Amino acid sequence: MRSMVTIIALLVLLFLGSCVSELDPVMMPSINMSTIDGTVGLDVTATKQVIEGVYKVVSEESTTSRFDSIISVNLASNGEVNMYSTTGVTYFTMYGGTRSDSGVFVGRWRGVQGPSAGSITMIVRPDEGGIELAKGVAAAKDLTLRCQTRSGNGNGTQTLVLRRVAKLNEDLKDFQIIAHRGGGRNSERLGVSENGIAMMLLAPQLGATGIEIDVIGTKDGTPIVFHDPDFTSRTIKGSYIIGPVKNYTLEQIGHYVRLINGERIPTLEEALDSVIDRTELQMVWLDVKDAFIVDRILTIQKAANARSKTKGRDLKIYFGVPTTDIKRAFDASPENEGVDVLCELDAQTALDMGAEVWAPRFTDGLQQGLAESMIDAGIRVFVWTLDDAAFIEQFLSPRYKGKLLYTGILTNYPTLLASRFYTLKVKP
Amino acid sequence: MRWLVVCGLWLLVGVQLTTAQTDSTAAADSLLGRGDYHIELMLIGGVGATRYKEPPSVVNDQTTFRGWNVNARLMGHPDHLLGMGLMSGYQVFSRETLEAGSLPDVEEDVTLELSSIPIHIAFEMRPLHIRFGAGIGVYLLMSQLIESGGTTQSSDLAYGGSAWLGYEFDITDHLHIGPDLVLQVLSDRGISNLSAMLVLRYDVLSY
Repeated sequence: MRSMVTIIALLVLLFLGSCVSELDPVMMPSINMSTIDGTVGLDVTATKQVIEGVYKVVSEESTTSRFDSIISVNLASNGEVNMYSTTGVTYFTMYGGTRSDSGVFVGRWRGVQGPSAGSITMIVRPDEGGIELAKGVAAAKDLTLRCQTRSGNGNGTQTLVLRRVAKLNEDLKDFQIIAHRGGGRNSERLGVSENGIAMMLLAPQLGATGIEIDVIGTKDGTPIVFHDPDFTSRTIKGSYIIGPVKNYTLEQIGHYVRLINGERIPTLEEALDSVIDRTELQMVWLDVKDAFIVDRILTIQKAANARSKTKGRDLKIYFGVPTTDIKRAFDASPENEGVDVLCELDAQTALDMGAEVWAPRFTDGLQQGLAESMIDAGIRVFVWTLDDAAFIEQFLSPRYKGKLLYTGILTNYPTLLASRFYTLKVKP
Repeated sequence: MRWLVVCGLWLLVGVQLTTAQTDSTAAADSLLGRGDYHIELMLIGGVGATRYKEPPSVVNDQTTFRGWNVNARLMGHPDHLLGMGLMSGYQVFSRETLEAGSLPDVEEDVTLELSSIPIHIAFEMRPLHIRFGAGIGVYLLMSQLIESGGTTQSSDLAYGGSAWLGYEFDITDHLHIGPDLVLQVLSDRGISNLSAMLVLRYDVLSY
């Protein structure tokens, strides 16, 4: 009898083990815009040169320290002030500007590896750089940011005083912080889906300067942005659409499938249009999954490149070559002239293809000699996929001819990479 | 990783079954006679309701549907209460027709159907005439989109479990009949189904 009870208990355990647990949602507060009313003005160009930099936490009042001793601050051209902290892998997004002789900003913060989130207000007093911020001139002394953060559930406030100690990493212009699947794991708790357009629009806030998106073909040969070869409950809603993506036409997918958070699965064209029109991302890495749609992808890539140039966007779209199947299809395509290629295969293949980027996996090691020879041949070197701070620092360390050896890192945690990259030369 | 855990647990179940047989033989606590082994075939059919966690068609809000199923269980009952066997069959979880123009995204009549073939390892106990048991295994899910231009079919595997409770009446020494209430859950697909079934049990072999 005891054995039977054990068996039944095991069955119950087995059944419970198969259940899918849901993540706690992020408690993102709404921003009180009344504190940044019409009296607040923002000259993005002027503010950018004053406020951007690496800041040290010089004073902190809190029962628990939630953020780093070093925090980087940068300003997007749409006016978003973005801060990145390594501790808890936290990003801050604020809006605001100057009112009279003070800086006033309000926004949100979020720790991307858990459900923690909250609000933040930040001021720059007149005697601590506010006057210079209002005038758009470099501060006579180090700028001081006074922040008050509050957690999303309303419990716990933290006062932070940040003082600028250095400029942002000067390698910034040549380096790409590339968010995996349009934004990486950050989508899990934010109510947006991997490879969805909402995720791509959010990627810059997370610290990304570029995104990697997966491109797969439908039954009628349309490239869509989706990772898996099959529709599963991990990625989609819609129980009637199951099994291989290739079994369904674009119209059927459009009608009866939604991404896991309810968005439509974007076509490649829709995704690139959104990146061009609605973000400041500098690069897109197309991770091509199907050989039979290579011609179509190349056509769309060329059209997007042309459109991007017309709009004055500084955007690179790379055709990713992850397998020999894709390489063969690329080589055979009549559309393969004049597109930027990112080759994940061996270095010699990247050279033979005339690729602009060689992107080995990080498990192959630093490969310093090989990477240097590629740079000598005019090929940039990216690496994928780094989610661990120690590995990120390892690949940010080597330099060649005065520049970083690896000038692009693919990651699921762009906030972590951004915080490490921007503060590279500043010790806590 | 989940399948490794599942395999490990099945191994444990196997070990426990071996132990169970030894214990029951020694204690002679079976309701059956010593050395009385049975192979049984159970034919099961009925109707039920399927509930989806999210609307299966996306465009329609409906989450509960009528369905039907026919199953068979082949069970071995050694000389103790616990029986073990295999269960399979065919079942329709849901079928719905969306008429053209009824919803913003529906431009032509379309019928959507989700059915499955379960393949379960089943355990059952039958004290007196009450029957209860559980099964666990895979479902071969099959979908159909029936449109004017043709039918699109696709399939996928899913993992799930079932549990049932019933009562049976003796028709003859070897033939029995009774109602069953069967619950099936495909947790990672967000599908649960509760069915009222009629079970016909035949003792194929006794030795």
